[in-house]
Amino acid sequence: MEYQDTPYFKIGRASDLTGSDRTLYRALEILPGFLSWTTILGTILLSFFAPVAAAYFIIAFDTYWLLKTVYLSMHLRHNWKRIKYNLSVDWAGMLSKMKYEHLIHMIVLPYYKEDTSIVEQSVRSLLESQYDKKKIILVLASEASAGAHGEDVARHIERTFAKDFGYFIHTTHPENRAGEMPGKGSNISYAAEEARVKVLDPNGINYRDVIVSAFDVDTVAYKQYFLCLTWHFLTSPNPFKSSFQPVPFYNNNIWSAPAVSRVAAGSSTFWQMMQQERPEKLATFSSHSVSFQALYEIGYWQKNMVSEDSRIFWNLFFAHDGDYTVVPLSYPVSMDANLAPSLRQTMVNIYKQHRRWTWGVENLPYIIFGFIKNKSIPFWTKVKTTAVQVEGFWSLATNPIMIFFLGWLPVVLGGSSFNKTVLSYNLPMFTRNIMIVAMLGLILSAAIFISFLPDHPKRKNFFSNMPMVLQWILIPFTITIFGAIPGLDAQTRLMFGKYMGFWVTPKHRHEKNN
Amino acid sequence: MLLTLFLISYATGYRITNTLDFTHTGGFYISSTLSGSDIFVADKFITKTSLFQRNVLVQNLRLGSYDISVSKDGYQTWKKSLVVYPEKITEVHPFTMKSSPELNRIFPFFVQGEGASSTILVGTTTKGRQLNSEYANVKALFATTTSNTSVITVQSATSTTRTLRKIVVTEEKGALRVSWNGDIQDEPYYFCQNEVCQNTIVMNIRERVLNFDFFPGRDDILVVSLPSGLYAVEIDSRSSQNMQSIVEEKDIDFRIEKNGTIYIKKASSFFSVAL
Repeated sequence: MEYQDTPYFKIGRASDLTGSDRTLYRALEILPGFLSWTTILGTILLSFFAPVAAAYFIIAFDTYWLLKTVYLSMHLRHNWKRIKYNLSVDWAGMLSKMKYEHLIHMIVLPYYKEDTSIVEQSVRSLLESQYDKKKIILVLASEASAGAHGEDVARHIERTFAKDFGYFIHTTHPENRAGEMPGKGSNISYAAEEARVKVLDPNGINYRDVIVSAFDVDTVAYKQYFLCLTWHFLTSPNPFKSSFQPVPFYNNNIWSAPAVSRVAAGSSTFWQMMQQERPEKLATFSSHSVSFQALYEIGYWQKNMVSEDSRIFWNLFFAHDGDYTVVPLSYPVSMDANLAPSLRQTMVNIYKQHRRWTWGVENLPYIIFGFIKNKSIPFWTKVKTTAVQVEGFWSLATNPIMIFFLGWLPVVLGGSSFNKTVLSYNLPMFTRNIMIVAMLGLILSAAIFISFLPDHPKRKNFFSNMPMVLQWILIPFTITIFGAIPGLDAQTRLMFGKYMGFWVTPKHRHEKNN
Repeated sequence: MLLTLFLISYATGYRITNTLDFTHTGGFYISSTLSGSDIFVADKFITKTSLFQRNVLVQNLRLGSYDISVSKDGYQTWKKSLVVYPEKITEVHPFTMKSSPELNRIFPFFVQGEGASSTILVGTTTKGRQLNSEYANVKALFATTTSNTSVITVQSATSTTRTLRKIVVTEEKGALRVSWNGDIQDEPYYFCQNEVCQNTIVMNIRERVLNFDFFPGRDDILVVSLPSGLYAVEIDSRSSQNMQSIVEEKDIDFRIEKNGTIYIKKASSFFSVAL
């Protein structure tokens, strides 16, 4: 039996299983939180009862973190150069000697209660892209629960833009469907199937000729995005066993967003850029593209969980017994940085968004459980993948807390005997020096961030960029408050079975600056 | 892994010698309260303290005894010989008194000068003068033997005991003993040497102690009144105890006010000491 035909293939949570499978899955849901809390609490207890051992652990941890930071900085720099190059490439020229006219791009644009202007900006970017619009299917996917607003937006978009696309369809995802969790996954799965029934089949469009881009509603495609995507699709060794991942730039409203939002957004971009240089560790995230054929074979995105954007990769990975990859496009799409009417609300929204993103930890039990059940995946693939995923979620939740808060703990809790040792004096200095070296990477971060900024809508001089440089001193704050803590929050919720639902990030624009 | 092992070894105090051997090292943590003072270890200049950096960690010292000195122009030099132990940091808390501390006489009255901008302190007549409240306070201070910085727990005809936090100083027949009355893990640094601790320190003062108290803001230095004058003496007996003069005059009594001001009494006059 193929793995996708097993009852395990689209598990949302432990309660979807029974018996020993459920117990096992539940234990795997507890695992990431257990590891993270053991690290943090263990460091605290060790600082009290065995401060020398705790100091050794902290020095080893700091060294690991420094080396990892240097390693990732190199990847960041390489991807920066790659993106700049890809933005300069004439992708139409690159395709000129290839046959690609048969390929159709289906863009699924789910929305809920976002303002019409946000949806419109995304749709306009599709029209401004340099791909034959008659080879584009626009699927506007609204939610029935959005009420009349959803319909009003769809009517406006259809009236204004539908004629410019090869195909246009508006779908309304019904409420309260059995086995579904309200959210993007269930909406776009419904939309994709509607598109198949109402567009692909009636027009005799081959599923293998359709590339689906599941975009967030605020996604603005760069002009050559679909040409770049087409080129990568055609040159991929196996395009039906590959997903295609762009790099999210949060530039739509970057000049309006407060510094803390810009830094959080920039950090997310940098992480995706680093991952693009490590495709063997890359999973899909947010806006991504995949062949319709591959989606159709596995029944589209999961409808019973939150992190459908990354889960689709793992579904496809297991469906193909590990023979599935993500092709990094090293090409950007632009999205919104978090912005709300007040700074306080903006920060709350950033926290919630990052908690939803780090809720991707719900994939970890799915992955490990799949590795146990799927006997067709090579053993070392399982080992390496598990190690990468476990380390990734563990380091997200613990590293900033360890580095910025716990480095001095043995000195405080270790007692007078420990405080007379050379080790106790050197420990804070080591931690401080390692942090200083790592912070030098912020210079690179600032340079990269500025290089990808759009022009300021009102002024263009040296001083307009100054806040974009100085903001990076907020990094210790943002990676802890909007990185580690929401990560720990998400893992703890999973640990205690307090499953999260889908949270829609409110989109807000200051019209005068955008 | 190798880098981590190297860093842990280095952090613990291991060093590689010229002959590529591993050796244990230790060091000193010198905490000076005086900015602008020069710190020497084994006659080698280490650093000059500043307003923002009065503490210095000296590492990479092999096992053995080192002479430490702290000096500054206009101040008495502090010197001590201390031992470095492997993988340990020896705490050092030097103190330095001015070579000539300024004495400011406290007059009983003061008068406003014409023009109301100057204040003239005069001592002898009462007509048209205002009582100096500071004089009254100091006079009251000297009327008792209580201290505003430490607690006299026992006072008899033959002995006096003062306690600051849990450090107990007892004077009996003109000699001083210092003991610790708290938990052993909280014992002040000067009671212990390489984790071997003593319960009591006998102050090595050759003259008879007439009066004593804790130095303002310090629990490791005593102010002692001796027949030859007023002195600051460190309790730390890990090597010879430094004793620095405050006022080298005979028949001096002193009290310490709550705000840390030292007042001395010479004959019937009172003075504050500018440290």
